Amino acid sequence: MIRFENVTARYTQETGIFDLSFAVAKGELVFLMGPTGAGKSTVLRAIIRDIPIEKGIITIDKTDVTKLKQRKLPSYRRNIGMIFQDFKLIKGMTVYENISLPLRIVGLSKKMIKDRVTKVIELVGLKGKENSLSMRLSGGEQQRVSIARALVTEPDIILADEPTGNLDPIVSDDIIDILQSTADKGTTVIMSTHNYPLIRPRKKRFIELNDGRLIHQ
Amino acid sequence: MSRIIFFLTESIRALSRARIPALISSITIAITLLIFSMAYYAYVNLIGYSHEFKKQYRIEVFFNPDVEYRQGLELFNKILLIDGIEQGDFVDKEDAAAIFKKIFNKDVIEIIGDNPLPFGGRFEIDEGFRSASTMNSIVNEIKVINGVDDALFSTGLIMRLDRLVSNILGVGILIGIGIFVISIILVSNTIRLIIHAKQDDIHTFTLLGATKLFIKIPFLLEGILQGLIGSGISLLILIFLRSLLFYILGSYRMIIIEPVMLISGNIVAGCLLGLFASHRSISKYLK
Repeated sequence: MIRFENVTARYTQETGIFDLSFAVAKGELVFLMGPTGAGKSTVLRAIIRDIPIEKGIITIDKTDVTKLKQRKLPSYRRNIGMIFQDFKLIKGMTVYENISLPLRIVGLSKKMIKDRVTKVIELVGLKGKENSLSMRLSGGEQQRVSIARALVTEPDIILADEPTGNLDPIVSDDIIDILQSTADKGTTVIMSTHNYPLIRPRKKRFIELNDGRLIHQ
Repeated sequence: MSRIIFFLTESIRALSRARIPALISSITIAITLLIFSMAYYAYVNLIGYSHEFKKQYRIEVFFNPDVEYRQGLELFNKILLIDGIEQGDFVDKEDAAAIFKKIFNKDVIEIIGDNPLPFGGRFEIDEGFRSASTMNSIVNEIKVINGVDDALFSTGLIMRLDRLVSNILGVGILIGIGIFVISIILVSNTIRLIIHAKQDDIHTFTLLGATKLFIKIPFLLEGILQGLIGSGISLLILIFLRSLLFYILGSYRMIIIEPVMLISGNIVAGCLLGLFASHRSISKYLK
């Protein structure tokens, strides 16, 4: 379970998240809603400890994330799969190399890496593209690579920051399907989006933010 | 093994992507190594020549005029046992007269009718004792021996040579440290440009859970590779300069540094320089 208790994290006096409290259960798919600048990305960055937390507590399965020491962060982050709107793929790397990167960081053997990457490539529908340079792919394909990279370590949590932001509605729907099936297997998924029409038919729980404050959950 | 290959591939890939900054770094390393190699070459030759010259260092000892031949030999053997004396020649009255004639072009017996020159000795000095201060200590030790009238060496010349060598060495070390520091700053700034261009990738790596060491290693390898390229450039120029030197100087005697030492020294120094510089920049960035 992910729990926010009166969390404040800000970039300036007026931007960031303020006194935010909510909880997400294990295996749940939750949408973080709100316009640009509402604080959706900040929530995700706070979970992954990519920004300093000024006040409050974030707990993940009884671990207080805000108190994690700097040297513990790498191993903590390895349990979280992160998907970005701008994909954050390594440009010079192939699809296979990008997806295998988290496993190389963990230090798995070549064979184990191959097994896992092959499996996840099939899951996201990129079979046959393994050796393509990621920067030569379409936006939808790049986002699939980004999702595959997040899934390959079989993490407990997936944080998806506007993963459908630059994609057409059909591809966006496919991507939410993949995230839904991941959540069905027990992974907690938090996806930020400002595209309400896209998530409305899913009838899933959403947390709405505006100006860094909770509006609805 | 797979990790090593990954790191190597990453660093080679990064080098090929940032060709211009990498080339600038390598050329800076090459220039530093060239200056170091030439300075070292000049230093080795200077030391070599000073050693050659110092082989001629001698202490001249004159015994009292009343010292007899047998007593003179005993004194001579006693002096030979002093620390720092390598070997010596006993100078009897005939030898002394011959030296007198060589210097003044006159026969002492013809002038005075007798040979009043004392017995004595000429002593060569061990290699480790060939400096003005140590020779002075030896001379003082000789002078207190009963039967010795005087002991001397060319103090001024030896002191000047010692001072010259130590000054050149001191200035050389200072200049060397200066060049080393400047080149580390130059190379690390160039590497910082490469790091700056890859800051998004580095951020992605940290979000994926990479440790600082995991992020650092490809950059350190990149620094070492730049060092290798720099040492290659430096060696090519040095080989050319060496051939040019042989051509110009012909048979003139110079101490030539062994090629194995030149090559290994350049490669090791180049790699270390690249490693220090890349470590400096990536550590600053990841702080």
